[in-house]
Amino acid sequence: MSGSHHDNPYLAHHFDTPRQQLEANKLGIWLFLGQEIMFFSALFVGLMIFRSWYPQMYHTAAHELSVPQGAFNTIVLICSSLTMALAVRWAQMDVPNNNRTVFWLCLATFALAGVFLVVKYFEYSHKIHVGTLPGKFFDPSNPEFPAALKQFDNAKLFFGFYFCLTGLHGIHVLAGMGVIGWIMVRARRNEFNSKNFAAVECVGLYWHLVDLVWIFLFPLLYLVG
Amino acid sequence: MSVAATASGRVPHYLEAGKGIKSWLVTLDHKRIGVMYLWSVLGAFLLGGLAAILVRTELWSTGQTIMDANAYNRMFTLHGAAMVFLFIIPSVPAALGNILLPIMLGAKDVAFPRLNLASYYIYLVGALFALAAIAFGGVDTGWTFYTPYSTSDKVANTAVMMTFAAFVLGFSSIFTGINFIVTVHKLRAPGITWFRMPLFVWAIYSTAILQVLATPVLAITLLLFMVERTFGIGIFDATIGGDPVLFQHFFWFYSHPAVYIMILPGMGIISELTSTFSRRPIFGYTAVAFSSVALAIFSFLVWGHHMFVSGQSEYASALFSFLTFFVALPSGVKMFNWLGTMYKGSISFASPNLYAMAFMFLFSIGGLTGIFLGALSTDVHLTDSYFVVAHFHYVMMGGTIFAFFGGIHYWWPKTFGVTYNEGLAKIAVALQFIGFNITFFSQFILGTRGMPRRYFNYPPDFEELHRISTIGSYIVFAGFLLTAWYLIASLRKEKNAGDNPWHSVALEWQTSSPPPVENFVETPKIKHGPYDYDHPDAAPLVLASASSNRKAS
Amino acid sequence: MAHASVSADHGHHDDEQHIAHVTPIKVYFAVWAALIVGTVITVAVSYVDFNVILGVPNVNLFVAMIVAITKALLVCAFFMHLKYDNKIFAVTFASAAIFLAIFFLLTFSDLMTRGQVDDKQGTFVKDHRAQQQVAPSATPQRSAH
Repeated sequence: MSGSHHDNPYLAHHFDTPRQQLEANKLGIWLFLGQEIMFFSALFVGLMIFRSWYPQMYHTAAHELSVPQGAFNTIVLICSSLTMALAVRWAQMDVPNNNRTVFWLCLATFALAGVFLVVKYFEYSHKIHVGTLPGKFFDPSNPEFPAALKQFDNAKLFFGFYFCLTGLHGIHVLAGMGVIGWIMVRARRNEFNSKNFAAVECVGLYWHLVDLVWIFLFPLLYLVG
Repeated sequence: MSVAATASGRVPHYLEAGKGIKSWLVTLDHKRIGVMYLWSVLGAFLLGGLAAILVRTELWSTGQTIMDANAYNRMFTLHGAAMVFLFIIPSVPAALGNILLPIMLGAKDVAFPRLNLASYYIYLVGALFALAAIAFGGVDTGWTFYTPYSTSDKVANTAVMMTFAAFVLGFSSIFTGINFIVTVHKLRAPGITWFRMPLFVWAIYSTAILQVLATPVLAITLLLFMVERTFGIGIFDATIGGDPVLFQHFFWFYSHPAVYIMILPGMGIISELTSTFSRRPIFGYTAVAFSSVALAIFSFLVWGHHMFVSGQSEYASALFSFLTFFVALPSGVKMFNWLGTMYKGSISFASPNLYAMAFMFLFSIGGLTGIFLGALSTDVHLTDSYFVVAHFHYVMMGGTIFAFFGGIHYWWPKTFGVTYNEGLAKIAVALQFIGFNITFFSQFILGTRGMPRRYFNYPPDFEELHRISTIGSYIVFAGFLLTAWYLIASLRKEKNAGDNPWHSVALEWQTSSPPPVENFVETPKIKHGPYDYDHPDAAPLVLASASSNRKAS
Repeated sequence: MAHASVSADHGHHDDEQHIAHVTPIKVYFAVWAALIVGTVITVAVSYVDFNVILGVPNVNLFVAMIVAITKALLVCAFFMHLKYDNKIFAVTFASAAIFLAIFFLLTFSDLMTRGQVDDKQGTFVKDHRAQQQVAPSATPQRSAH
């Protein structure tokens, strides 16, 4: 056991150098992100299969989604990715008040995530209102049920995928808000500097994945019916 | 981590590093976590084994023997689910892999010790849900949970609890996989190049890739199953345009690679045992290493061979059948190279090597019958018959479980510092090997004669073969009880196994047995590979022997 | 950026201790602008039905996916630092994408080719889904919400 790292309080006992520790942490989070891609994969495969089986139904049902709301949420998430990336950048720098900047950038990310969920809430409540819900809650007898959809018995499939995909994505947004909040607490304690920023970077990577999933979800659900 | 030397001047080993139950429950030491996994998976093995004995006893005679048809359906589901999700998948990687992988790499621990402990507790939570599902009435779908039966009203809601258990257990497996991949990439001691890693590490690494990339698909599949059952979203429901066969695609996209999660680590153990007990370098090291990676990759391409009679399209079936044959290549490379290693070796018939040789015999049968089943036209006749049951038991039990017990025996002195009764061990191997063949060879014959799997009843003509099979299962069970007895008895003995009882040159034997908390007193400098019995430096060098008086860091 | 240049050309020991790679701030804003532009393009393009104009199905899907993949690559390369980092991270992420593609292709190989063989004769028959697979054509353009 070399004693070279005893002077570095950020280095865990089983690592030899800061680089080794940082790259181990990042490889771990990248593997986790790979896992996340595969976690979403079956939903995307199912969605695309039923899209090619029932193009007319899919086309009609997709038109019931609100493109302005989806597009607005896309912009929101892109902006939150920017603030998160900047938070990582400041966590890496030994400049005065860098933890303060990290805190405010994380707060901005957190707020944008909140905006995303609020818009999602309006989208969901509209669908609950008109009865375009998955499975047993799908209700064509609702007076405001979209007329164009009435001819498709299997439109509940589309909304099943819509709610599963956006719901699972929404859960990831919530989890992201949780870990960003944890970073905010640690930034308040002035914990981050050029030797100790792995936590911010790993949370950032996770948040960018949440954005990446939406980058594909948005066109596939809202645009290319 | 500072450790005080004991009065004898010996560096305290990891079992002495803390006393009391709490020192185990909050430990971050990979070896202690591995030992906790070991006892847990062996407990699951006992549970699954008892279920198997009850299933075989029920099949002693036609009609009802000891339980009714519903209880029988729940019993074989319990057997399958417990063996697959609670025992075989975590067995070698989480138990032996945790204990050995960092030592084999000269590392102090795995990359993420807390994640490692968390994955153990996630495993326990999953196991508790599985037990709860059994306690609340059990599940009768088989471990595959096929739709549309499993989403129908005929199946009790405990199915949701059981699938949730498998969902949770999946995340335990994913986190173990992430930990091992990072450990292999980032924590190898100086001198351990990729091609000086033990083949067990290559196998665990390939397994970890599968755990990380395939298991999440099981997780989302089971999640969709739960959503389908609860809200009826219709993805797997043909009446509103969904597709029940899609569930099988999703399920086998994980569960076929899972077969390699189960067998690859076992193959890694066999590579270690064969080299050590033949006292020869492994024949074709690079080929064996890459064959593990190749098996991991091919395993993603062949899942459709589980679905030849499911209504899958004929084109897809032909494609999957064609791709399936490629799996035989890396498996053949391994088998050939193990035999090449033994050829003209100085072979010792110690009990771990008896397990290894039993593995080669049984896995060959299991693998070759797999080719029958991979061939589209043959499979249509053999699907869902006892031939399939016998095939995968030859691979899973004759392969993985024999390798696992070979590994347990081989690394028992390493882990606990004690030796077991070798005479009894030889008798146990013989009982298990003979009993296993009696149990399952008769099932090959039953299968070709048309006995379908998972059936409660059968025509009187099959009674004789069923009875032979049941008697065989009792012999196997007796063999495992004997193993349990002498292994547990050995733990009460003095820890006098010596640091390197097998005279291996592999790195994990170059530290004391049991190892100290951070595995090596000094970071080892590696000059040769794990199998270089002909290397000039390879006289077993002991870095931290019992006699030398070393300063603990 | 004082530490921006700490990278390969420094000594090994330095490299092991100084670990931060700070990206210039203008890069982040340029990527952000490109992502916004990409979103505008993909929304604008969705109002044009290329499937009808060109008479080929799935053109819109193709265009949308090209834009989405470009956006994803930008996020990966700059926001997620893959361009500067150890290549093993990119390999890890790409391998997940490759297995995703395998999942897609082999599942589609079944679900798109069902019912094309006559059970009794084992011969090729007409694709019974052919009628359903025609691209949406007569459907109205997107209505504003």
